[in-house]
Parts: sequence; structure tokens; C-alpha cells
Amino acid sequence: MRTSKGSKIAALAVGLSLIVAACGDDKDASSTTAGSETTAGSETTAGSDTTGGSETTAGEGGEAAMRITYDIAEEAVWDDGSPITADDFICTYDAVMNTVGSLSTVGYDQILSVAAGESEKQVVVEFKTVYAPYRGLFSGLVKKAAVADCNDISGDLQTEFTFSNRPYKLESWDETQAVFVPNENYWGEDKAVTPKVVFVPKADQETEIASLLASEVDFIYPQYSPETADAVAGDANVKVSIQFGGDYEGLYFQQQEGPFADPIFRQAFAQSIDIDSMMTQIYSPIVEGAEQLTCGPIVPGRYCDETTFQDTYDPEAAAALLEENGWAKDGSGMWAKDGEVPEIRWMINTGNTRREGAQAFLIPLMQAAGFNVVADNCEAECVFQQRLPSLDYDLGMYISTAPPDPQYLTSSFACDQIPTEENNFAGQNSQGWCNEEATDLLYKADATVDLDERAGYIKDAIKLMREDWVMIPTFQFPKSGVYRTDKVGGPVEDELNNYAAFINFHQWTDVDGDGQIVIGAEQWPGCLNPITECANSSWYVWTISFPLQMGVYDTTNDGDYKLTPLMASEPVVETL
Amino acid sequence: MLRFIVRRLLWAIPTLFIVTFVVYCALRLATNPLASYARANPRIAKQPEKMAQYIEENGLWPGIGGYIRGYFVWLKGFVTGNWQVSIKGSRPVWPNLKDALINTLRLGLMASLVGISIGLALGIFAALKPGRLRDTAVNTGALIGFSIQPFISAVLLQLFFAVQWSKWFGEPLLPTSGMYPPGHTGFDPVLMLKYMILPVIVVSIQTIAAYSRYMRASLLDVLNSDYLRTARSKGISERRVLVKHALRNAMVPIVTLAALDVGAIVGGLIISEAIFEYPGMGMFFLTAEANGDFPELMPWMVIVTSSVILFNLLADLAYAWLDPRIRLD
Amino acid sequence: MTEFAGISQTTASQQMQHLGVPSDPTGDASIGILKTSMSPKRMALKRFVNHRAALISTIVLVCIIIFVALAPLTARYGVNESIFKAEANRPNQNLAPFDLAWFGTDGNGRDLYSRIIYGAQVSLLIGLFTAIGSVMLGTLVGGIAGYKGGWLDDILMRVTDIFLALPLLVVLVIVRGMLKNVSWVTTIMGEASSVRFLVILLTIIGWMGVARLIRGQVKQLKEREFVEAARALGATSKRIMFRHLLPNSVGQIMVALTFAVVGAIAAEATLSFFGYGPDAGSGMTSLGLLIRDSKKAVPPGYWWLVVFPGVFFIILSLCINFIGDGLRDAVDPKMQQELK
Repeated sequence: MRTSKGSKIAALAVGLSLIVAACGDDKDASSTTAGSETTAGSETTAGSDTTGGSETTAGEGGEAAMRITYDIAEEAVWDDGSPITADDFICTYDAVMNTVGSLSTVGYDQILSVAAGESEKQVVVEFKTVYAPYRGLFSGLVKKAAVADCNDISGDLQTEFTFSNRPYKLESWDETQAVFVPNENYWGEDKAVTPKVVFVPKADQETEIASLLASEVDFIYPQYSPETADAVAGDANVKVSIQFGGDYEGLYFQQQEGPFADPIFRQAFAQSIDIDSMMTQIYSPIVEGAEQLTCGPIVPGRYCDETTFQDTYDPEAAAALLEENGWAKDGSGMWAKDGEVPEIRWMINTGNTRREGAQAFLIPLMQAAGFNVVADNCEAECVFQQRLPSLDYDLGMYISTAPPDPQYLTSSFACDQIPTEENNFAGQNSQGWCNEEATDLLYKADATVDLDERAGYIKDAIKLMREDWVMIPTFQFPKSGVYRTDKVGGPVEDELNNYAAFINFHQWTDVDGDGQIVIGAEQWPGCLNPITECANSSWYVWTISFPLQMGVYDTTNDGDYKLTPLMASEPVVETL
Repeated sequence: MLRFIVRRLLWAIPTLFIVTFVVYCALRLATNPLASYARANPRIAKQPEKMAQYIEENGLWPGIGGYIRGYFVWLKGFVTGNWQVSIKGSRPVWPNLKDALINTLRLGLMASLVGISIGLALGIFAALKPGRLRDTAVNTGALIGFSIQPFISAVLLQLFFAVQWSKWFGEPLLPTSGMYPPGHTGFDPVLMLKYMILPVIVVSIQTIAAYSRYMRASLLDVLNSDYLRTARSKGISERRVLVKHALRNAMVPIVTLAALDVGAIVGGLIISEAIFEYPGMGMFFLTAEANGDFPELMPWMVIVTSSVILFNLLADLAYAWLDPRIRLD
Repeated sequence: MTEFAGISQTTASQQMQHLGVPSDPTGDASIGILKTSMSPKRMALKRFVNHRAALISTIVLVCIIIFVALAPLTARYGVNESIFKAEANRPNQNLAPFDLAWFGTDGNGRDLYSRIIYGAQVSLLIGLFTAIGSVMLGTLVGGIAGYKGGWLDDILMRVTDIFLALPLLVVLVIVRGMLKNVSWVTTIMGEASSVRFLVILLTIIGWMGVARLIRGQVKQLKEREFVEAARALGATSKRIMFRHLLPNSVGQIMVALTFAVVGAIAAEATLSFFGYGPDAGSGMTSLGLLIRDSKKAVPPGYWWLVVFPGVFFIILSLCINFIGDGLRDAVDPKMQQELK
């Protein structure tokens, strides 16, 4: 088949920073402790690089299947004035591929060679396979002159980030704050407006909101809740902006083992979940008129078929299905087969009161429907880094952040992405779902450059998810920015939906004239290195990587890619 | 006296070794450093030879023998200044730990100073008229203080002085969190004090409650002792009795208790620090614990337990020195 | 410093004792007997009753306990019951008091009044079981150490010196981590978020304070004439221990028990506050969990979620603290005498 090992890996590849913040980013790890950095970003990144020992290096033999030629803008320079050249592309590639503890080599491992073209300002990259998600590659450059050895930058960038090709550069960084000042040598039109931007860590949303109300921070980016709206309601100078982007929540059924390994039982269970009343009770208080997300594990847009997950609630059909297959309700009203009532362990991260509320609401309903659901929760770190990857749950509920490219579906749902002992529990298919047909469709999609054709494959794959009851999407979760209008102005609301979050903060204006904008960060990155695993939290990429490292493409607010000022022209893609 | 001191000092050394060994075992069990490292560095985790190397370098062998050998590997690294680096990002531990320690000492000493002095004053105030209204008030107040957990008072203080205050008066009276305002760099004692007020109040509530009771009990005891009765019967004025004899003697146990409490400061005022996001030892511990970061937790525990042991020793010595009645055998 | 009211208070008094601060528990009781010709027990009872705050607290606490024990009758709703059926299409979340619910509702539309009752049930159970466990273990170890003395005593004192001086949360979190990572422990103790696990964890830490208190008591008693006499008459150690030392320490044990209850309740609340407590997703609750949730209610101004659990918690610990205080005065009459 065409899903050779190589093309599978190819399909996995996404740009580093994309993966980094990608997928299962569940931002609300506020449960645990101050400063604890338990993002689910780590959850998924931990799994996304399943390439195992199949690392390839540039220059290894083989024929090129695709070639991309990048032309770097003549005026593009680093913050010290030195030009950005092909060397920096080569260094980035080397660093990603060869650094010990490199977060992910996905995508880059499909590259045969990176070399300078006709000039220092031209880069020619050759790929082993056709690689559709190429826009995610080289999304953040590593400056060659800033590191000792491009092949191992794990020792660099420990306490300071010494380069930038964005409007701001990092002046200082420690456990208590990160200070950005304008990069005087930035060549683009969109120069930094405010003399200073400061990020400060805030332990959880309550502290974040309290700080905002107390005018200590000017902007926060919390997971939206009705409490947020109530909290700021009394303050005329605080504005809340809600936008629906790539975040979606869903219920996931782990089907490798346990009660949901039985497809009949799984289907009956899924059909017994009263999604409508869940919308009323859990989601409509968040946003008035909340409607169920029916696309699947993807948000509305080109790749979404909104009919796929409609009308999942059908308790009569569920009961009939169970009875047909030898199930019967026992004395306590629970569905039993061969005298056994399966116990369904529902796992969420403790401390997320909204999810705890969802459990407290839904469990009695499910028990009334005859399913013995029990809450089996642990801390965010335990959920996302231990139990999800080891498939140690039956029913899961979490938010994922979808990057613009649907490639993440492959790493989350393909057969070979099921974490097993063989691949050291790497792989993000934490539902344990394996459907060969769907896997083929997903891989085919990743090797298809034509967008409509690609969308067709993806929609078909998602239909199979509904047929197999892999998950039930519940809600496209709003992203929200809350800010003080008396402190910060300008296009604050323009990029909130962006995968790169508040990437445009260099254009915000300092309304009160105190010379700085202060942004509250819900989780604080433990370190600065953009290549090693310390970069596996979304707050790392939002606060460090995106604001300092420009690459070929930026993500946009409407979930697409746009060329950055780094490029002189659109890269030329040739299929060979 | 000298023999007593020497004996206690000699005791402290094996205690320190035993304690650090126990702490080592406890932390290895609690954090599972190898698994935490693998979780933080999944790509390295997939390379058996790299993991084997990590185990060798850091002495993370399994089994009882492995723990003992590992302890000595750790001890050697620790003593020679060759500390293990954090599991996440391989950063050196000491710079952050040092900052945390200094921040906590600032906050803790300030809180102790305020708390102990107010507590002592209240205790004396109560003990001078035992059984009267003031005594009952102080006593009851202390019990109420004990019953107000720091996390309750901290949340309420934040709500009142920062959030509500800014709703009423336009700007908050006191900051909700942090050590300095965002964007501030360098040392500024005035700002520092302003940011300390709320955490200090929270810690002080408990300290005041404790010390007012200690002082009251201790002073009452001294005032009722035979030798003071004698002094009084000799016609020495009550004021003189109080200042010259009673207070001095009553302070003896208080000083030793204070020494114990000061020793424990290093462990961080964990609850207040967490709620007020004060970057001290408590926050350091919570963050490291959440990451399962053994290389960060171990020096933390060593510093904290050493301080506890040291101040226990000082307390004993102070007691022996201050109270002539103790027998030094 | 003392960030943990209940436990640190007991330890503080023990430290005072350890350091020779005279809180000689029975030393002067004989004087009282001579003066009034009452039995020591009646004396103690009388002293306790005279301690007005303790008496009131006892009455309040008994009321609370009865109220909480009869939870299904006294609570209006189930612990996890949303009261959303009242009106269609009307949100039931975060309702202010006196609307549909006496104390208002939480973010999930549950009646806060009922939840406080059920939460208090869990917290009191945790407090009681932990206290009983700690006191049994502590009395045993402290009794033996105090009676035998020697190296056992030394080790006990040294170990507890360090443990009691470390921040309680640190000790709890580390011990919790250890227990969680050992598989056979989990089979005995249950999941880390279960109440059983919590009780055992708190007992493992809590016995030390009790042991020191009992040790001090036993050490003093064994010098007393009646023990000397018993020994001279050839009574075995066991007999002396159980017939003389322990019965004479009952007062102190009761004091320790009281403070252990409030200490455990406070410790549960602290653990819950930092996310190490019982599992809220299962629908159950505890005072600690209610207080944890109250933190989220601060910015939006849902004052009832802050005030009711907080005040109830303070009243409960205050009552127990007062009772402990009264008991201590009762068994330690010296202070009381001075007041006359």
C-alpha cells in the first residue's frame, strides 16, 4: 500500500512550533499548584514524535519527491543587524534533527537536504516524499551565530534568549517575569509600538482575573467561563472578547481494553449520552445559545462536515441494541452481561471545576440510564502525561487546540499512533482506535496537496469515527481575551483566534502611557530552549517562541497561513 | 557546658547524614525521578543507551542497594558543588533556589518579627490581669486566630484590599500578588514592603495567636513562682518585679521556641507564598513537586532539613544557656 | 512558622513541655483534692463546665454533629443534586441565597446549604477517624518511649523534632507521593483521592504530636509515688502501663484527641485547597473542597460561596479548639487556679 513507513512519517510531520502548541492543548491546568506547568500541550507533544529510530539525515541517499525554494527577503536581519541567510535555515534543520532531546523531528525527517540556492538569500529544500503540510516547517528560525553547535543546541538558550527577528526582543527572563523591548533592527512594516511588554505568571484564573481587576495586568487570555464575565461585569474599563477558534472539547472512548473494547456496549453508551441536556447545563452558561459541535474532532471550516455527529442521542436504540446482544438490566437497574456490570472510569483533571461539574451532572444521568460510570480523576499532569498516553481510562473529556492544518488528525487517530510498550507509549492515539480504512484515508490526505481532495479524505475519515464511536465532540470552546481598555488599546481583539494567540501584541498601544503593557500568563515556561522538550507548553510558544522567532509562514486569525515579511516571495513548490 | 555543646554538635552530624539519606529515599520514591525525566524528555526516553547513561550519571539504580549507592553518588555531587541539573531544560538548580531562599527569608523574617512582637505584647498584656476581660479577649482572640486558616484569610484579604478596593476607590490599596510590580527590575525596599504587607498579615495571624498564648502561659507561670513571691514579699515594687525578673525569665522558653520557628521559615510560608505568588521556597517546592523534579527537590529538602536541625540545636543550646536550672549531664 | 492552626498548636504546647515550660499536667491536682474533697474527675468536670466558652462550644458542636449525622433529613437536596428542575430554561448556576436555595447554589446549580452539611459530614469523619488512629498509635509509641526511655525515646524525639518542624504540607505531599507510587499500598489504602487514603495519610503524620504529648505525661507520672510503689510491690511493666500510667493520662489523651480532630480537618482542607484532596468529580464534597471552590468565587463576587463555607469552617474549628482548650484547663488545673 502507499502507507509505507516513510510516508506515514511524512504525514506526521508538522512544523515544530505547531506541534508544540498543538492538539491536546488543554489550557486549564489551574488545578494544581502555582506556577506548575502542567499543560496538556505536553500531553500531545510527548506523543507526537513517534518516529522512533527512523531518523534520517541530510545527504542520505534517495530520490527527491518534492522541492521547495525559499527566497529570503533581502532586508531581513536579526536583532543585531546581521542578515538572515540560508545558513540559519540549515542550522534550524540541524538543530531540530540532531539535538539531544529534540522535541519533535516530524516533518523535518522527510527532508533530504537543505542547501543555499543561487545566493545566501535563497534556500532549496528537497523532500523524500510529497509533504502536504509543508507550511508548518521552518516556522521559527534558529540563528546560527547564536548557538555554539547547530547539531546540539540543548546547552544553549538556558537563561536568556539571545536573538530575535520579530518586532520585539527579549530583554530579560526569569521565574517572575519576561520583559520584551523593541527590536530596533526589525525591517518589517509592523514595528513595535510600546516601549516595553511584560509577561507575568499568574497561578490560576482567579488570580489572573483579580490582577486584572486590580490593574496589575492589562491583558489575560483565560479559558472562558461565565465566572469571568461576572467577575469583570462591574468594571466598565474591562472588556471581554470571545471568539471561536480551534479549541474544541469532546468525550473520548478508550477502546483498547475495558468496557468500551466491546463496540456494542460503546455504541449504546455513546447513544445514551444526553448531549442536549449537557449543552443546557454545562455549556450554555458559558455562552448563551451554545450549540453542539457536530463536525467531529475538528472545528467548522473547510474540513468539517457538520452533519457527521448530529443526533447521537438515541436511548431507545441504545437499549434495543444492548438487549439484542444479550445485555439485560440487573436488579439495580444497571446493564449487565453474564451477570457483570462493567465499571466505566471517567477521567478528567482534578481542579477543573467545570469538568467536575460536568461529571457530577452526567454521572447520575448515565447511572439512571443503566451505566455504572464512576469519576476517576487525577491531576492535570497525571491525566495528560501519564494516563492518557497509557490509555488508562475509559471515558475522557478534554479540550484540544486544533492547528490550522488537519494533519493532527493523523497523529491522533491513525492505527500506528496508538501508544504501546513497543514505542514507549509514544503516539497520540490515546483512544486506541484502529480502523485501517480511516488510517489510509488520513495518510492519503496528508500526501495530497489539492485542498478539496484533501478535505474529502478527511471528511470520510471522520465519518468512520462516528460509525465506530471513537468520540463525541461537544463544544467548540471559545477563546477569550480580557483586557483593560484604560490600559491597552489598538488591535487587541484581532488575533485572539489565532493559533499563535496574541501574536500581534507588538501593535497594541499603551493607552495609559505608563510605557508598558503587562500580559498575564497562566502557565510559565520552565526554560527557554525552543528545540528541546522545555518548549512543549502552549504558553511557552505564545510567550517566547512566536514573539521572537519568525519563520516562513504565520498562522492567521481565520485558521490559515500567511507569508511572513521574512520571505521575498511565496516559496516555489515543485513535485518531482 | 562545653561538653554539652560538643556532644550535641557531634550528634547533629550523624543526624544530618541519616536525615538526608531518608529524604533521598523518600523523594526518590515520591517523585520517581527516572519516570519524571522520561516524561519531560520523551525523545531521550526512547533511546535506551541515553537513559542508561542518565541512570549511571545520577545514580538512579533500583533496589535497596541501588538507593544506597545512588545516595553516595548524589552526596558526592552535592558536596563537590556538582549538582544535578533540573530534569526540564537541564538548568542549574542553585541560582533559582538561592533567589527563592533569599525571598523567603525576607518575607519570613519580616512576618516573624511582626507576628512575634505583637504576639508577645498581647501575651504580656493578658498575663498582667489574669482572668479579666483583657485576658479572656486575648485568649479567645488567639483561638479565633488559630481557627482562621491562612488560605481563608488570604483569599479574603485579596478580595478586600485589591479587588473590592479598586472597585470602590478606583485603584487597589495593596497588590494581589508578586514581589514587585510587573516590569520592575532591581531592588526597591518601599515597593518590596508594599508587596509584603498582605502575606505578612496572613502569616502573622497565626504567629500572633501562637505567641500570645506562649507568652501568657510562660509569664503567668513565672509570676506565680515562689521566688517572685519572695521578691514581692520583700517589698520590691510590682513594676520592678515584672521588668527585672519576670519578663526575663518568662522569655527563656519563648526564645527557644522562636529559634525553632525561625528554623522552619526556610521551609517556606508555603500557603501564603502560593496564594500571593511570592517567588520563595514554598513556590519553588510546589513547582518542583508538580514536575516531579528530583534534582530540584533534593537540595531544597537538604537546605530545609539542615536549617531545622541547626535551629533545633540552637534552641537546645539557647535553653541550656538561658536557664540555669537545666542539668547539663 | 505556624501555618497550620490545629496541628501546630498541639505541637507548640508539646514543644513548650519538651523545653520544660511548666504545664505540669497533674502536679498540683492533689492540692485541689485537699481543698475541696472532690474526686479529680469531678473536679475536672467542674473546671470544664466553668470554662464557659468550652461549654457553649460543646453544645454547638453537638448540635452540628447531630445535624450533620442526620444529613438525609436535614439537607434539602442531595450532595450532588442540581436544583435545575424548578423552572425550565432558567439557569440554576450561582444563584444568590434566598432565591431557590437558602445559601445559594454553586457553579453547577447545587444547593450550597445541603453541600455544606454533606461536606461537614466527610470532614468530620476524616477528622474523627484520623484523630482516633493518631491517638491510638501515638499513645502506644509515646507511652512505651516515655516509660522505657533510652534509645527508643531518643529516636522518637529526634525524628519527631524534624518532622514536626518541617512544613506540614511538604511532609504530607511527599508522603502522599511515596504512598501513591507503591502499588501494594494502593491496594490497602485505595486511590490517592479517596477518603480512606486521606485518613491513613493524615494518621501517618498525625500520631507524632500525640506521641510526644503522651511521652511527656508518662515520663512525669512514672516518677510519682504511686508508680514507684507499684513497682516496689513487683507489678509488671505491662500492669503499671495499663493500670496506672494510661488511666492517669486519660485527660491528656482526650486533649490530644480533640486537637487531632481539628488538626486533621485543617489538614484535609489544606490538601484539598492545593488539589491533593478528595475527588470532587465524584460528586461528593468536603469542607476543604468547598473552600477550594470559594477561591474561584472571589473575583465574580459570588459572596455566598465564600462566606458560608468559610464561616462554617471557622465556627467548627473554633468550637473544637475551645473544647480542647477547656479540656486542657480541666486536666491542667494550675492555670485555672491562678485565675481565681
